[in-house]
Amino acid sequence: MKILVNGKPQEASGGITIKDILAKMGADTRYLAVAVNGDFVPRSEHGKTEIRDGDDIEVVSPQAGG
Amino acid sequence: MWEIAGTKLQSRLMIGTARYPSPEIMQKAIEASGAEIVTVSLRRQGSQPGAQNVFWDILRSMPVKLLPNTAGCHSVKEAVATAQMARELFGTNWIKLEVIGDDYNLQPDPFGTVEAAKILTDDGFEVFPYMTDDLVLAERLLDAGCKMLMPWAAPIGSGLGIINPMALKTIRQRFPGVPVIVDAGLGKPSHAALAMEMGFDGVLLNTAVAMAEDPVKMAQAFAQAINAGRLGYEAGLMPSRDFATPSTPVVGTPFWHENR
Repeated sequence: MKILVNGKPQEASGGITIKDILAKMGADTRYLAVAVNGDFVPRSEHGKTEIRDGDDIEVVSPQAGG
Repeated sequence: MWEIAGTKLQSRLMIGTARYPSPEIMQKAIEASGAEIVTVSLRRQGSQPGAQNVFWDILRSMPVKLLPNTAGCHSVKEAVATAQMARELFGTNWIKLEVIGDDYNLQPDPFGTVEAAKILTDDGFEVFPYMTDDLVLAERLLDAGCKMLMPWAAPIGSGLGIINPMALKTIRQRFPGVPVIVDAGLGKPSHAALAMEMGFDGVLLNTAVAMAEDPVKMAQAFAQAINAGRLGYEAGLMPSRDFATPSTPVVGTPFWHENR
């Protein structure tokens, strides 16, 4: 299936969760937060939230800001 | 000491963390400013490989309270989701709410800001609303559950200083018990001193410090200006007049003659 991760198209296999996507990114998941299709998904739900075809996933981390 | 969102503070300067020449200079500038609240943001993971780790490691080591923002959000939905992600990531229910309405001058969308503020305050957030200097907007934001206001002095990063003193003065006068922070558009320490002389509770800065030739020195300059302005406000400014009044006593002036 096709998904978007931070605006970039990716191929993903069925049944994967947000947790799987974060693991693939290789970043420290303590400092990542996620929204799917514009809705926040709490960390406690990452392992339970299955990604579906066409999902638009935003993965964010702390940055400088004013 | 003063208080905002249930937190007692010494410093009336809040400072941003963006646009410094390096994370190390950012750290020194924050320390020099004496600020106890610093603003942070969220961006896509991997958008600045490596950089965010240094930045985040430094910030976590500092004794400051973080105020995440929703910078760059153009809709209520984006702002709400960003605030919720920030709450989880930074472990705070504080959010500097920005819903941008115009890309050219980064003017906040007043309608979207009020709508998002209502959703977020109902969800337990302490909303610091970035807003224009409109009195009715201020009323609506307080009605929506905000406990403080953050009107701009001028567009973000412009350095123009207070472009509409009358509008800001009106907000100050109409909401004497509400913490009001002047946010955005200040360029010089004197701009910050003026804001404090007008009775505002604090000032939020970023670009004016970060883009100075010497950010650390500029952070000190702003801190001193803010203290001076606040002291001046507390001391009570003399009323201004359109005519001269001699400061030296007139009685006993030498060479004075009644018929001159």
